[in-house]
Amino acid sequence: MSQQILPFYLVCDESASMAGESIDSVNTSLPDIHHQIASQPAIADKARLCLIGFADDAEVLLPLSDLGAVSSIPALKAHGGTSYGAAFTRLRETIAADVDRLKTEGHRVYRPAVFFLSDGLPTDDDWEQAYRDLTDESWKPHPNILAFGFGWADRHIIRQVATMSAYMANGELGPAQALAEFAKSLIHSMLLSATRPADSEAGPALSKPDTVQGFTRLEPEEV
Amino acid sequence: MIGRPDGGGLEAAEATYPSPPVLIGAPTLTSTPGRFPVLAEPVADSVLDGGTVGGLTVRAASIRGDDHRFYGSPRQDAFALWTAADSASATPAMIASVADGVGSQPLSHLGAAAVGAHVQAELQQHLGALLDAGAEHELSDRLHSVFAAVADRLRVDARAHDVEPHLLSTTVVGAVFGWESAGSRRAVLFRVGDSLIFTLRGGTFEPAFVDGTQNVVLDTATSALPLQVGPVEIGVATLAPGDVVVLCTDGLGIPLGTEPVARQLADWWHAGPPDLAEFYWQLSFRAQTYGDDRTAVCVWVD
Repeated sequence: MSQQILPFYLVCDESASMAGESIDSVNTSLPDIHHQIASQPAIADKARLCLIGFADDAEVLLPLSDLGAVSSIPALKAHGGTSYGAAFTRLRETIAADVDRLKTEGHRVYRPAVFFLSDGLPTDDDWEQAYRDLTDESWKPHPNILAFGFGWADRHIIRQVATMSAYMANGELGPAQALAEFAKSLIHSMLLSATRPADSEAGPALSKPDTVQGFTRLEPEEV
Repeated sequence: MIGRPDGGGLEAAEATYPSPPVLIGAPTLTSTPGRFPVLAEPVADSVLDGGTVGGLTVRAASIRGDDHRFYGSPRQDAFALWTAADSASATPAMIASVADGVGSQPLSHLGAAAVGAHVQAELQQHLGALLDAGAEHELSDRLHSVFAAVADRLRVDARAHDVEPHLLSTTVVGAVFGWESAGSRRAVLFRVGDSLIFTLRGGTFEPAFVDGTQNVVLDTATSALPLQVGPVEIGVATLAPGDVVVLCTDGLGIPLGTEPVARQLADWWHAGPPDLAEFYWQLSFRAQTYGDDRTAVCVWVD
């Protein structure tokens, strides 16, 4: 039956460099993220959640799911290297297949939102091509990406990955609350017609809060 | 009903009428309004109206969406109806409009609420010519100047509220209905932005304006007054007895693009106008993920 779906992709770094506090923080947050989204019917009715973990390779740990039908979220295990290329390639394949399937089922699909959580230390050198493919604007379902840096994350890399906003965890609050805030603002923006005023620069169609508690906002990078 | 002595407060009375039907999915979000919006000027959850004029029967409702009810934010849709007293002059029988305040702008409910009266005031200077088939070649210029003037009026409103004009951003869709003549009547249709007009004819909703949003990943940008006057989309319809013209915001128009909603509303509406309470109940159908405000002006042609 035709619904209006907002796909969320949670893409989590589970490389060895995330071991310890960072991976623990993500693992603690995942059930919270699930709970925060699932407990708000205005969001839960519309959102679908997919979890992708990556290290040397990238794996879909939770296929794009109706949150009401998900009872638990798999935990991440720190291991191996940090292949951003594998993550972005797998993400693009997954989004493409999911969007096709949802449309075949008759749904209307909103631009996917990606929450990218990493310590920002990729071990592959050629990930930027995979990133360009993922964010290529001529590819219709190209996602909006919010990036969150953990641990010793390289701010430059985190900023480079984000298409919308980049944040550094500052230890005050975990990512669950931050992501729940984003989920809410994305839902607001998805439901309510947005406008790009003629006298301002065309911006992203999604609204975003100026500050998220617990994260330090990184200003957009000049190019 | 009075409060229970155990402190449980008021219990909701058991409904003695059927709840509005679920037409799509299995929504967990309810239609129960939550806290009142906190606003300088209150905005009602819903507005309901109806009446007849010269062989047209009108039912209109503007209903706050379940998302706005959940978050305690105001309804941002509005409608406006203006009817002529008689057919003695060159006036149209009715001017109707529906507006959708652009959700990303916090004061857009003010723009939506105001724009209907502005459209009507500006159209009044062109009433005779609007429905003149011989003057159809002037229609586009005429309506573009009307909407330029409507946008100016919204800018004046913005100054009165001491806000930037884009904060009142709203779409508007409308129709000018002529009087019946020799078994048919003309209507001039117009819109700025993504609100919609359908004609229910032979059990099918036919869109007056076609847009290409069905097969792409959706962004949510739309044209909106007062910043984007153009394009003004214009149509002329020849209406026959039995036609139903539906002006609506996308809160109804988008779910109306689905088969279960289109089939149910066609079933309800093709037989003739419902009474007011029934119309409100029908428009309150539930549909998972379609939580936007719903506003419709439905016009049955005798």
